[in-house]
Amino acid sequence: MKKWFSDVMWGVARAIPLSLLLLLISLVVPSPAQAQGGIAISGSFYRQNFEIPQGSSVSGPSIYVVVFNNGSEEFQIRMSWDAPFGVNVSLSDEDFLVKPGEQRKVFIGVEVTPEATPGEYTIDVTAESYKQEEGGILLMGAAGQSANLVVLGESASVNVQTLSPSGQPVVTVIRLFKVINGENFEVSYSDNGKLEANVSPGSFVASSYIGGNHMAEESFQLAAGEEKTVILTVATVFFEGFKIIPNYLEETEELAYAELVYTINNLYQVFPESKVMLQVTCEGSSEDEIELVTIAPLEIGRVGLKYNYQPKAGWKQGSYIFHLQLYVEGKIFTISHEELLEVVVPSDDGSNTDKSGLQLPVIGGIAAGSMILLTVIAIPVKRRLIKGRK
Amino acid sequence: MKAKRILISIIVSLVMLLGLTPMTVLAADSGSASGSFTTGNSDPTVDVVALYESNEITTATAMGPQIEYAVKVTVTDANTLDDLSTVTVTIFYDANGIYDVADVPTAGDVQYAAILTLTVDATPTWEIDAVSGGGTWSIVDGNCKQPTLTESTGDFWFHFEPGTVATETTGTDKWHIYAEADDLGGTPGDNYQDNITMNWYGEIVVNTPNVDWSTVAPGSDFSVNSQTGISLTYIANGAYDEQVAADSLWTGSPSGDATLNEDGTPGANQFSIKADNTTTLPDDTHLVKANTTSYTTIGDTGTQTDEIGNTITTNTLWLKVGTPFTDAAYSGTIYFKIADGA
Repeated sequence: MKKWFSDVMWGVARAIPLSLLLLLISLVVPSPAQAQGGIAISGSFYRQNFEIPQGSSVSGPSIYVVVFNNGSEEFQIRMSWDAPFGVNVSLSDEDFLVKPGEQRKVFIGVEVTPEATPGEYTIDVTAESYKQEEGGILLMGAAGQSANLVVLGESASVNVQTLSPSGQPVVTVIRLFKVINGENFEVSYSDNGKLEANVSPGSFVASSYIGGNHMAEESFQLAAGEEKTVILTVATVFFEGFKIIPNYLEETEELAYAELVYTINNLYQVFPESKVMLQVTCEGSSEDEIELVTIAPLEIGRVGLKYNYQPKAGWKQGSYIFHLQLYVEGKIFTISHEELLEVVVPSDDGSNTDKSGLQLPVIGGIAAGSMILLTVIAIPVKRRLIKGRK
Repeated sequence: MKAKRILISIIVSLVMLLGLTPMTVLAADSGSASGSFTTGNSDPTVDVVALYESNEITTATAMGPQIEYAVKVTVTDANTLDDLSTVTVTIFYDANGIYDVADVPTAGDVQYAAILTLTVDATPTWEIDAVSGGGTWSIVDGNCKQPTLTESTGDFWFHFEPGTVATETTGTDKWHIYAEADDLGGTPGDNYQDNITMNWYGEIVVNTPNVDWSTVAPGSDFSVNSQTGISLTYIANGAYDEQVAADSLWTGSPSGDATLNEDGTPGANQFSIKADNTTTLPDDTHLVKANTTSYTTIGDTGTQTDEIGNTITTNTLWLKVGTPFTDAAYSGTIYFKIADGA
């Protein structure tokens, strides 16, 4: 009996390792072979040098990663982050499906709570591909970025607003950047024309945009504890493509007139009435001031306009400078850049002079006057002739 | 009769006088003119070159490979925009970061440049130059736009995606965008936007989908449980790191769990893993951690690749198993990661 028991125990003892071995043989069951790769990542997150005071946060459209599925099969993406105690990372998407060839932009915000300890840290953001219905030990791809974080114990606050030239609030996108080593890092964003932010002290740039057009920008400094208000004045209507095209007489190659081509671009709102004035100087002296057009109403969008200009007193030799002014509600709203036209007036003998330029309108005036005179004289003379015949 | 002669004399004099007088003067300040004129060709000007996100609303100062962007090129041609022949946009890398028109390349390169060309016409043609050595740069012609050609000023929108290995900027080096509008009538107009950064891009292709430690015994060490020949392909436009992590909990079937031990000292129903990109068993710095904790770096010397990528086939995993172990078939996931490098 004892021997039988001993034999059984001996067999059990030998069987345990074998069972465990068999256990581990079945532990890793491979699934059919298939490529799992093709996950990729890009974006701006890793470029950030976050400098965030305790109790503040940073976010904006320029802080993100983009996750790509460049493989041949769809897979789930799980976003994760790793940050020091007291620091929270917000992700606009945390778990999503990406099909082959698709990508997903994930915006990232960083919040530093009052419990965070000032110091230098690293924040990691990782995108992991995974599948839920596979068995065995799978090898999957992941891609990630890391950013530097400095938690600060001191802060400053800034209030940015956008106003029109007349002082009215204008709804714009405002982006606030901190300038570190000459590079801009976005710290706050607003799309309603007002921005308030609690930031770390340093150098900043505030920019405003309407419809993607860069409207205004201001650089400023903030010291620890400072509260600052920054006003961005935005001209929502402006001139574009202002150019001068000289047109010459075919026979004499003299300058006949200058064709002014310009576009008014109104980005923001309809104005009941606007007026374009042309200012012309020659050799620094005022030459002309002409109302070119009245537009009522001035709609949002572009208006392309032209005007053929000749000086009232004829062309003189010299430098003509043109610029346009746009009046809205009786006030100058915007002005164009200056356009230069160098005028060379040939003399009768072919040399350059400033006299012959005057001759054309003078002769023209004589001719026109003569035509009128002729008409005045001719009609009664003709009547007399007809009367005489009768 | 006398009056008739006077009238004829006056008419003849005026006809002679008018014959010497150009008609243009009648338009002195009226804003109009008539007669025979030579309208000079006005060279086009490129007023604005600006990089935007693909929404054409948000301006961008940085690009990332494989992400769609839009370049706005505002052109003025006083002869109206239909006078234009082509508008060309060249996006190029500049090692010293200081824009110089002499640096604008004349051919594309997967790492350094792409040239986008619009042939202006009622039906526009959008093209990207044949980029040598690869083809992940692309022009998104379905989103490209040209303005109304009867206007004198308008915005041309070029939508494109940088290629996977468009060189990452890491210091003073920058990318610039040069645009040129040509009406074939004189001097083309041009302009540029400089100082654009290129963000890092990293892609990993796991060519080996799974591993099989088929005969692992409880209590066995790393040295006897290796799985090598794991093939990974890295594609990057700059420096990259190779990293590994694993699920912390592996699920047993029909029941039971196995837990990852990050210290290399697995106990009951625990296991540890080491990883490297070589076949040589590394030290404890290569112990794999849970993906919820952090990733372990197994390589930090990766550099910019071509578009085919850098394939490493010597990646190896070593398994250490604690004892005892619950009888079950376990499944879990090991993650190979590409991360931005220094």
